[in-house]
Amino acid sequence: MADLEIRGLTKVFPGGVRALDELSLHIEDGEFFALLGPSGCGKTTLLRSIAGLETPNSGKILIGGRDVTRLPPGARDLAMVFQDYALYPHMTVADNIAYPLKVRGVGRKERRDTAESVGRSLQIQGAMLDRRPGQLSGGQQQRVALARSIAYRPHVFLFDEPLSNLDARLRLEARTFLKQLQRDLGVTTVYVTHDQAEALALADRMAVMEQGRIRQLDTPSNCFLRPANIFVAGFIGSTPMNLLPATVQDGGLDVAGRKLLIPDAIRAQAKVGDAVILGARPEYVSVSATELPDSLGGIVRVLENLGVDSLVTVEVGDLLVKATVPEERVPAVGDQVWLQPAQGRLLVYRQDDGEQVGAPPVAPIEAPALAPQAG
Amino acid sequence: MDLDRPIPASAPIRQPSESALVVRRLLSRIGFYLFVVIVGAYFALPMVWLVFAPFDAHPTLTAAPPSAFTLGNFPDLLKDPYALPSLVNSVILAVATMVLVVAAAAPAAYALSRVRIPGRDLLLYVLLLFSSVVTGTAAMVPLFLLVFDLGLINTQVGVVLVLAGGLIPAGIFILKDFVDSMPKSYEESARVFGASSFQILRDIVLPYARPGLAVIAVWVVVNVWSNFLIPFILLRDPGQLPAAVVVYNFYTEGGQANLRLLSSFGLLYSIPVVAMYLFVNRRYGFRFYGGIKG
Repeated sequence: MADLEIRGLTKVFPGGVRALDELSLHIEDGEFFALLGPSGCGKTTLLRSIAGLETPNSGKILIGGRDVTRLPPGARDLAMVFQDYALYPHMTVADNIAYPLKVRGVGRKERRDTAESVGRSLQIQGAMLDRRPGQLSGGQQQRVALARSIAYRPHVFLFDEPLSNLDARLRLEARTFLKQLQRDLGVTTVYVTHDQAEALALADRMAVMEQGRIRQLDTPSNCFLRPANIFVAGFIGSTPMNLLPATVQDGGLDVAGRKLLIPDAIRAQAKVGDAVILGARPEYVSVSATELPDSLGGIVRVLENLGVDSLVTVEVGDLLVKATVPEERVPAVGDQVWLQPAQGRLLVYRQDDGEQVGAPPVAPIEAPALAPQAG
Repeated sequence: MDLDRPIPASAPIRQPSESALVVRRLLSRIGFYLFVVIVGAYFALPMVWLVFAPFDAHPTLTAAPPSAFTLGNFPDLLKDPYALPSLVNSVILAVATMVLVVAAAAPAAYALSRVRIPGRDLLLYVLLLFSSVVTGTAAMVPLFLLVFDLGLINTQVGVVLVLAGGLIPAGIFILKDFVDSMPKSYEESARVFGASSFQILRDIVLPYARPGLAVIAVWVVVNVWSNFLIPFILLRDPGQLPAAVVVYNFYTEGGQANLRLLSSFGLLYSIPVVAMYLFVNRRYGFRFYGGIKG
């Protein structure tokens, strides 16, 4: 078991693409850590650099305090589960699971025993052990890939979008299974995904990445409730957050000619006349059929049924604002409604750099970098 | 069934054009089959001759069932001092060349597929181009001198080296296609588990590329088996000549072919290749790989 530390890691690919930009990060021993971001944000490059499959241009990687930056992948004591599982088609399931042991020169008998015992804990047993990976379902293949990693007894698990090849329902099952497994094993885990729901559900902490940098490093609930900037705000959440341009006025915020109350937390930092972006999740916007003070009045344009809730799109001036309403209070298209963000859930960002106005007045972009445990 | 109903309703209008269509389709079918039969016969007739002529006491150049059935052609053939040894020589040359080509082409293909070096593709194409020159007639004189200087004239080692040299580039080219098709994650996961390059080659790349290796092996054997020019030039001692060269012994001094011996020898000459193809096909199953059929 080991913690994982990244110090000022930079990777520039031939051709000038900066996949990692002076990135620093500390992952605690036993932590389930998710790297989240859109494709091309550098999350996979970071994972592959940790694995040793990419060589960073500068910076250091320490596993359990040991500098592994220049060590080959095999000397780093970590196991990786690939997106395509990378199961060897010509080997049986048992041989696949025990391949890490074969590399170390472990005898046939012991390899079989390990494959059976590790397989049993992941419900891979009996005749399935003697099949080829091609004869298994996607979910089974994924468990075989996990079993192979476990058989290696690594200090760190690396997961590269391991659930993305499964269909939606199976993915939810596999997610729960994976979280349970990681908790039982207590192995430090780095998990790369582009699916924000997966990161929120699995991780103890997560880093939201953009263009080789960490835009927010926090717990899933903080990333969801208090996104540090517009990028994170727009990336996290199954229904996209409302991002509305507004200006600060004396005692309030002007949104498309309507007035909203300014949140207490930022009253001190905001100056009259500042251009800001308001962030309000549809889940935290209430819809009223009667006029409310300090609310956004508008006309309902679109209704989308989400199951328990409905997503209402309201035209407020020249803006479209979304809100979710419970099934019993769904308005009709064309109705006049008044929208009000929930107390303490309205986020305010600076229009120029997209960072949050208020509570932690942080420097943009490198906010989490270089800060923790740099020594 | 309900879907069929609207068709009879509109049928009277379309009737003439539809029947014309049927006739045209029928004619084109007939034309196609005729074409296939002619092309098939063109290739099948020599085979039919090869099957019948060896058992004919007086074979001619027509492909017909034996007029006077006999097995006597084969004992006569064995009286020839070079006939049977030449088949053994062919096997030696083919197997030795095959082993050499596979052993050299497999690691080379792996390396060329995985290592990024500038001008890699150019290197490959230049090699491929030269290889067709090497075994070609144009390079015969320099090749002869080279082998002579190496002291390998009249040895099977010399023949094997020249043949292998000519086949390795194309072998690398074909095998590289197989290795290219292997997901990189296979090797990467093995590397993460600590496997060395040699272990990856032995445990993962070679088993994965096994159908490709089988293709190469068969292709090399067939090539060597049928190669006349190189053993003909580099070997002097008639006892060392392979079957492809010895087959020319069955001509009389006047240039007349001895059809009895020639056809029996031809049959013996082709059986190993056919047998090998059937075996490998059964074992590995030839499919189309990268546009190359084994």
